[in-house]
Amino acid sequence: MNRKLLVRFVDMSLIAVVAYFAWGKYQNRAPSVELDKFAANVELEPLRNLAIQDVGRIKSFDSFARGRMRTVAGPYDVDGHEPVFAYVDLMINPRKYQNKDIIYVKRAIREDLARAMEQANIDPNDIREFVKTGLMAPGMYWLQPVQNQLNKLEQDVIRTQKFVNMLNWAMGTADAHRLSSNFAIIPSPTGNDKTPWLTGEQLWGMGFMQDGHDHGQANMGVPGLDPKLGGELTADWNKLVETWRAEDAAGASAAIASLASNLQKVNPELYPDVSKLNLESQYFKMKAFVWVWIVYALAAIPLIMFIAYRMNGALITGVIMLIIAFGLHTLALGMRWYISGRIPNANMFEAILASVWFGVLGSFVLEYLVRKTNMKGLFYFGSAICAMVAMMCQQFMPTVLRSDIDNVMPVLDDIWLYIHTNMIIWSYALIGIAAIIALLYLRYRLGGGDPGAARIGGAGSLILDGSTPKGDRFLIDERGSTGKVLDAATMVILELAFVTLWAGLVMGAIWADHSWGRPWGWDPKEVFALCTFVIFIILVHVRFKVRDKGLWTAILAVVGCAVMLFNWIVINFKISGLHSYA
Amino acid sequence: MQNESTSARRPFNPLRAPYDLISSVWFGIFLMFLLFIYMSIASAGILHPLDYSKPFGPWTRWIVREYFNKTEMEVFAWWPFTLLMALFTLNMIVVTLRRIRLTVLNLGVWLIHGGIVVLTLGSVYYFANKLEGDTPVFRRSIVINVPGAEAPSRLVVRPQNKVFVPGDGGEYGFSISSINPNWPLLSGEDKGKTACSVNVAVTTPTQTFIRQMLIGYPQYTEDIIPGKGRAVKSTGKKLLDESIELAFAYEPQTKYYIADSAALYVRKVGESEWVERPIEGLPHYADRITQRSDVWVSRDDENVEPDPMDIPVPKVAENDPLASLDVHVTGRLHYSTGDQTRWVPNGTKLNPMMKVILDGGGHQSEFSMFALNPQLGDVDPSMVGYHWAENEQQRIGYGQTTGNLLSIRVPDKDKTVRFSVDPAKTLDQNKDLQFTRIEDTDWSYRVKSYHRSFPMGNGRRVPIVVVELQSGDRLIKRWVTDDPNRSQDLIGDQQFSPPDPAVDVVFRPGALVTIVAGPQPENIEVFVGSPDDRRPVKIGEMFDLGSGIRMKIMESYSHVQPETRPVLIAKQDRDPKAGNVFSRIKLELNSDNWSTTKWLPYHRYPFPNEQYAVPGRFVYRPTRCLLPDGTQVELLFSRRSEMLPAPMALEDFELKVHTGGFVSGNTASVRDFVSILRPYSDGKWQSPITTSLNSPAEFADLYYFQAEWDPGEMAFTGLGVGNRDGVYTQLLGTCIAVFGMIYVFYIKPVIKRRRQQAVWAEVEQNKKMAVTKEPVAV
Repeated sequence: MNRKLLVRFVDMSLIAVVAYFAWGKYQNRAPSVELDKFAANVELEPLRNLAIQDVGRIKSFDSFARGRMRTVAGPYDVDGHEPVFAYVDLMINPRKYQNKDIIYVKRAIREDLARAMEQANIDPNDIREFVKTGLMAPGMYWLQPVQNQLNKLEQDVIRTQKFVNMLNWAMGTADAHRLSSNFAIIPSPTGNDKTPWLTGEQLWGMGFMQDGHDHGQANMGVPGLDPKLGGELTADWNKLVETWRAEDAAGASAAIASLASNLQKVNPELYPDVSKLNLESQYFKMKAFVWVWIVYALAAIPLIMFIAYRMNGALITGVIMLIIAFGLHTLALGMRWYISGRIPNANMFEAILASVWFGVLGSFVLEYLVRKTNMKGLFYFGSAICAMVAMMCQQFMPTVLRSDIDNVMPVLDDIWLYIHTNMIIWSYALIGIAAIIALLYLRYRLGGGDPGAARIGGAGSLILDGSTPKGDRFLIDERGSTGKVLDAATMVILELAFVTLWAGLVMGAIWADHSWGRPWGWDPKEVFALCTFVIFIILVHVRFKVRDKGLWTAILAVVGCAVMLFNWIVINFKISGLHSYA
Repeated sequence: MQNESTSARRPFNPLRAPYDLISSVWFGIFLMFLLFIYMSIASAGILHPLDYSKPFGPWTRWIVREYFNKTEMEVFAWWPFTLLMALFTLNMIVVTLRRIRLTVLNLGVWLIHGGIVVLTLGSVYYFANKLEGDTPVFRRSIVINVPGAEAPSRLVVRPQNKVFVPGDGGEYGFSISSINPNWPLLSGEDKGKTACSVNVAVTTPTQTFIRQMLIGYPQYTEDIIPGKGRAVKSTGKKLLDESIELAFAYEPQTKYYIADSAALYVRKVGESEWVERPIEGLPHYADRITQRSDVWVSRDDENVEPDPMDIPVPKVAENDPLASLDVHVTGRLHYSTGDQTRWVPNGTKLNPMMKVILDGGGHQSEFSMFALNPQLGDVDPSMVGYHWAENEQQRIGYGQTTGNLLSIRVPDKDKTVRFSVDPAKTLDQNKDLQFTRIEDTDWSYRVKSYHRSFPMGNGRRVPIVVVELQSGDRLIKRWVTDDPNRSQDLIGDQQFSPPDPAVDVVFRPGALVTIVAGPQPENIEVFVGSPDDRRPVKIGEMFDLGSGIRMKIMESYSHVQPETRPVLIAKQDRDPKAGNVFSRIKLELNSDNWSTTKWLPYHRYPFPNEQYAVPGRFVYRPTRCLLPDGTQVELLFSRRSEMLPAPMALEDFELKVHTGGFVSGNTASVRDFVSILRPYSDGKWQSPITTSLNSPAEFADLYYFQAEWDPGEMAFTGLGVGNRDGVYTQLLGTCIAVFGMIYVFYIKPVIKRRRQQAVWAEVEQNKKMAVTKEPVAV
């Protein structure tokens, strides 16, 4: 095949794949819903900043509601409403949602449920919409054919039970009684920081959402609560329910403000700093900053222009954009650290975020070291692409990569979380950056580029290039070989990845030794980290033996990255092991 | 690295070829590639789409190591992997010695290769000596002394545990009624702290009370009288009966149980100590049966091939009660939740059985019916009757039982009419329904109403027919049930009287459908609605019963008998996380002229009695067996045990939680678990040692890790136990390798640069010297 044609075909294929996924995302978007007047006008800000206790953590109600509503509606908003409104509305007006498509069903069981819906004579258009978006109405869930099908699917432990459980969990979470029994917004009037908070049910009695419920003596059951304050809280709540149902935005806003104010008075010592709660709300209002991938993309475009055409203006623009993106990225991590009170690398969402942050930070250091060489811009570009892809995954797979802030698992509550985990995720970021530069090399070769390779590796090239007047000068000569430069840059990163991955493995073994009683248990996660390392050992030795060093280095760098991603994605989600949390 | 091409140019020498191969870098690369492939498949298995026509649909994986019955540890200690590692290490050593000169520049490579060799040696030592297991340690037992008892009794502190002790005046009962691990102390020096409180329900021959005891605070022990409160309030004394002595005692653990091992435990009934027989080579994952008829399978379409096995289980102790018998494991089920009794068609006595499918509204249900024992079936006999007929006469007789037969007899005229009651043809349903005359009599009749299930005063529900009988001006409204003695006439609107003898009415509410089979199982006739609707049917044929209901006879047998077998759960219904919890082994005991087999369920721990069982976690179900010499023994399948260096007791267990944590039992709110242990050695209890997550305790070369806990009452802790010989050698190797990498990538180029610059400077110097020494033309 003509080489130019091949290159064009590869480029077009890449664009087609990106377009296909973008179109898929667009197609599967939730149907747009126009907000009613009440939803648009009710003032929810005080409600968002309410403190709520959730499995041993005090968080903002906004943060809590987002997590719960994501369980209900997956990547979509509940009927187009923001989570705080949706939570309260589901709690107060559950009947309103019986026939609204708010329950998210995973793709794996949609076709099966669609067949059951056909049996139940559901409108074929509704079924098609369900298969497309995955959203179904709670009323549909209770149809007998759907229940029969769910029972059948639940029997299959390996294939479908997990997805049925997720659907059941979503239904349970959307249940008004469950929502109200989790509504632990009232600090214990006399307790300490270990005392469970009270839910609305505990203060106002069971069925406090129902019309005609007698709230008069409800707060008698809460020892230590000032009767006057208890009465005010009850009045606030009654007013909120009444005005909410009457869709009186002004009345509901006033009730929310009063309730929020009174809740802080129940036990001011226990009530957390409202500014921190507000920060948590703001963090989630900013969608956990996952949209920063756009800024990284805006950085990557001029950076690739600089690499291709050596336009200095493009480099400056790219670096400025990268600094802005990195600043926002750092802000996101910092806010998360401050809000959670622990290092943000204890779950998949955080590990990805922290990994690419380390990658971008490392690129600034490396770029400083290579500022006078032809490698300039490559590390910026590689890290920007890695960060962009990682944050895109976070944005477009919110049900898989949940941004909820939770307590750290007991086994992770250790100093090694700071050392081993960071070392490993840094090495993963380096592997990703190396693969990006290696792909540039492969694209360059595909386009007919010279098969040059850095004779003495990555750091070696930097140190030795130009050390003598007659030595290799490809890194500093203006018209240096692009192939050699890309190969040397790949190796600079790979050498770092090689050391950090090995060191991370060793640190993990030390941690495992005193946590699980053995340094190495052949757990899948350990094995595939070792497999990634083996690929890089092969790479190092293949470089010695083959003629086309650059090509094989690039290929193996990409293979190593694929193994690393397999470890991070497939092993975590498909294969259970001791490291399932990371 | 030296070039290999020099050796490649030499003429082929068969003696030298292996040496050249083992010192080839390419061979090393090839070995690394094989190692990569092996590790990937051994660890993750092979992933593939569930449906190959839908590659973007759900995927699953074939766990290859389980096919070979290897655990993760075993598959990486298997000979193919060991061979690959040995060749790789040898290759690395030879290549290093032969091709890489030990120079300052090559020091890094030597360090990396040397580090890996040290790591490998450390790992060989580590895995060869590795012992790993776990053990539960219960918090306390209660030692019980009652007046007149021969010896003290022990009661393990677990909810609902109970013990009965014979003593003076009769039997004394003790049961743990509740445990509160966080009982707040409201007085005394430790006011504000919490302690573990245990309530013991005590039943003596004369009274019943609850004794509340606090671990670590014997002075606070007091009795509570049900309905009256603390004994001290009503009697002035804290204890109602001081002759009953209850005291806490440690419940030390002396053994731990090896991971992924198997052992048979046996003891005579009545003894407390188990005798252990290790089972070597028992598969970890496979279902091994001698023949398909060994088991029932939860799904009929599951293909289970016979795969016999025979593992001898020799005795290792002299006091083994099975010493005179040959003991073998001849089967294993990986996932079997229990036994099930099903009916098989090979009985010796007549016991006809039929399986039918009823189809209504798209919903199908399968039922079994027994002709001679209807109660064994799961069909309402009033809906479907099933009979076995030896001849045509019986067949017709059974057919007559179909439908709601009403017989009206006029004794004076000896005239009888008989008909099936049609619920649609009653006066209640049809106001214009006319009387029907009984031939040759003055009487006529019509059915007023029919109730299939009419509530009687005693809560019983019976079928009932109200029939109106008319003769001239006489009108009898008779209520008739399936029991002729209950027939009554309604006088007026409410009053009942005994039936008028002028007319006899009998109602026989037969089944709606009657199936009669026999004398051969395939000779089947179905009577639908009435004895007149008689249809021969074939097995497997679907036929209409009316009202949208259809029936298919699936199987028909004349001689069935019950057979009990273990149920093997189909693979797709197994919980992958269950491990071997539901596994069972088939044990075969043989002597010269005696043989028996028993299916033994897996026990995580071979506890001495049921007091240690924890529902849902630790089962205790030993299997009894009567030996040919009349000895009754108990058999139990569990894991191999090892002695702990010293008995280990649980002094205390602490749960650390986040703010308001562990409210709803959600472990995400737990911060840490802490076990405070006390080893017993040198004749005394030693100082406590503490283990928590990420902080193991060490005692006598064994390490104790916090592995499990009892989330309810915190009555026990689960400890991981293991040694770690060789760990520091491994660590040394990895550190050497890390240093080597840093040297190769970052120090070596600097040295090289300095040397090059030095050489270049020398060349420059020489050039200058050459220029200055250039001969001048004279």
